[in-house]
Amino acid sequence: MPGDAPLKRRLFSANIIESHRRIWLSGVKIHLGARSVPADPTLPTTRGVRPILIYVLLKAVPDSRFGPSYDPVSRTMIRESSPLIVNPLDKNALEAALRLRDRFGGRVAVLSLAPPAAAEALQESLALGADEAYLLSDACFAGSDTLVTAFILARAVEKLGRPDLILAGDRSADSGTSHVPAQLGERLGIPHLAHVCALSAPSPNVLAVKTDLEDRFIHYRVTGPAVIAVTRQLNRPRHATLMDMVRARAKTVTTLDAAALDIARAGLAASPTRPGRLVPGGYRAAKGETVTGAPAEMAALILSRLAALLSSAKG
Amino acid sequence: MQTDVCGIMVYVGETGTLRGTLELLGEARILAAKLGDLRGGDDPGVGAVLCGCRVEEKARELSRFADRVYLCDSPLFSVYHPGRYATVLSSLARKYRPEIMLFPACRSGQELAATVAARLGTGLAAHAVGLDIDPRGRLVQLVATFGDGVLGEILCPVNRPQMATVPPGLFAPATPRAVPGGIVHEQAPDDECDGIVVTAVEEKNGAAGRLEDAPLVLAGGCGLRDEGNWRALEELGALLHAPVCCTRPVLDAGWQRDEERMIGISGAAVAPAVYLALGISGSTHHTVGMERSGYVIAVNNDPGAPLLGMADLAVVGDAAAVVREMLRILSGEKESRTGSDPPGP
Repeated sequence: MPGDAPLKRRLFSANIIESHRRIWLSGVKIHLGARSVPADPTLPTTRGVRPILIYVLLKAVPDSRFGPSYDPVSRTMIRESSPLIVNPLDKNALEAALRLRDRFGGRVAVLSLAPPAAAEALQESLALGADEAYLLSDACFAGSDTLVTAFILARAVEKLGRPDLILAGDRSADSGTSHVPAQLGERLGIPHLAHVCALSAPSPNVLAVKTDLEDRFIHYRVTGPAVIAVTRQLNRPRHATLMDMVRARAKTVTTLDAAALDIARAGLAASPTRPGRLVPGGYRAAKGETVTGAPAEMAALILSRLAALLSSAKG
Repeated sequence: MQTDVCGIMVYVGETGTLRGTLELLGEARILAAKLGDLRGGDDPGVGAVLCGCRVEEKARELSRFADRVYLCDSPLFSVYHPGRYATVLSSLARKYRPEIMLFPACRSGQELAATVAARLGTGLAAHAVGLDIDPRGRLVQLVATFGDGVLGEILCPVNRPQMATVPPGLFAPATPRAVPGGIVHEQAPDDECDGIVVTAVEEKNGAAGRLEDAPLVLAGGCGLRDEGNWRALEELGALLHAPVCCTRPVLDAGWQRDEERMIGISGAAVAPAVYLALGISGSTHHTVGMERSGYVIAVNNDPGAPLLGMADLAVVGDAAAVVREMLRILSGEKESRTGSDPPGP
């Protein structure tokens, strides 16, 4: 597409500027902090005893900072204007995986079921410290619902080798179903827990986790391998520096297609759910007045309207 | 209705408010009636599944709103354990073969619904904001889409049950039946060891539920541009005694860290008397969580923002500037009230 190249360039330079700023703002401290996560001194390190393998599920989602931008006529979101980024909660999952790997030794492999455009997001996970990245991509995967997505991911896990742990973000920023981690656990026949906001690992196979439900926390002991879906409270994900990005160029994203995964049927055709029509709705009828003016005037108008509405609501 | 099948099975949640449960049962009853009409009056019936420990009382209360309550009462269910709960739900689904299974879209409800759907090998729609029965008797689930002003239908044409999670706050609660439904005691499953053991429970203290009771809710979006303006909105919320909520991008930006304060799909749904939205453009993902508000005031600098179209008072202007001005006016009032007592005569 002719319009593509300038956009990409802009985004690329935006990335560079962003990374420069991070280096400049955070200085060496964050850089070092991100590289050398101190081991928990109360725990014996088992580094070198048996390397562990952790999979992190990653979803590439539209970047909400770039939009959503709207077409005022059709009132639909202009999706092309949003570049793909790593789903924010998946970075918390990756962070947890990297810390466990740094403590126990082993490797972190990132799995993403996505169109080829997601390769850049996977490259970012390599810059952040993942050892391997796999893009599960095939035209026949398009339209997979969560059940089929879990099936494809499970097949990849079986092909690539059974892990000690699978970590995922609790929810994606775009569709946000939260179904995939649980359904992957079911498919693999291993335990799974969602909404995990704290995690410690006395050993690579035993986890103490805390799940965040609306009204309480529940602590569980989980014997792995297990699928753990994490919330943003779990940790503060590291940022990739420019040097990280350069170094990550030496690592490659491996694409696995349906043939490589031995998958005959996937996508919409294999999914139990079917999208139906799009129906207008979700909106209250536009019935209101529209006003504009100086901020001070508008502020006064809103406050007087609030006062009137809330006094009548009380009475 | 037959007693060996249950047309619509509703999981009532292991926590949460009675109101949310009644909304699910109310909607299930409407769906059952629609299916009954299609089938010449053969109403498939609504069953509520309740798991817990010593919850006989709650089961009796629920039986006023459902044709049948399937009660699994055992010390095994004193604390939420996803694997164990999913085992009960999937075995009840196999036993009573519901056509439709509904779950509350709370955190445990989502996790259980996904698990049960995987075990039964069927489809699951997340956060259905509308449910209907089509002329062929199939469940039509409406979910938010990436486009705005439109909802997408999700069908599960072949596999059964047809499953959905349903957020609270969207449907009318069930009305009591003339005669309470029956209570069926179900056997608790053997305690399977699935590698997950509960070690402790910590109640959250704090004001759960305050959000839904608030007469005024403030909400901010990316239109506030930066964290400084977000803090100003929080100050404004404190002055107006109103909770401050947000859209997903605000949560992602880290201005607001409390996920419970996100309004919309996969967040909270509110219906306050007044909803004041500042710098929110109004994607369907957000608006499904606030569209039942009594009166909506929206401030946005984009005249084409969908939320302005659905507001009762649409203010075209810079949300951050309006927040700052409201703060200035309110803090001025406060000072003049506290600072200058009228001099005595």
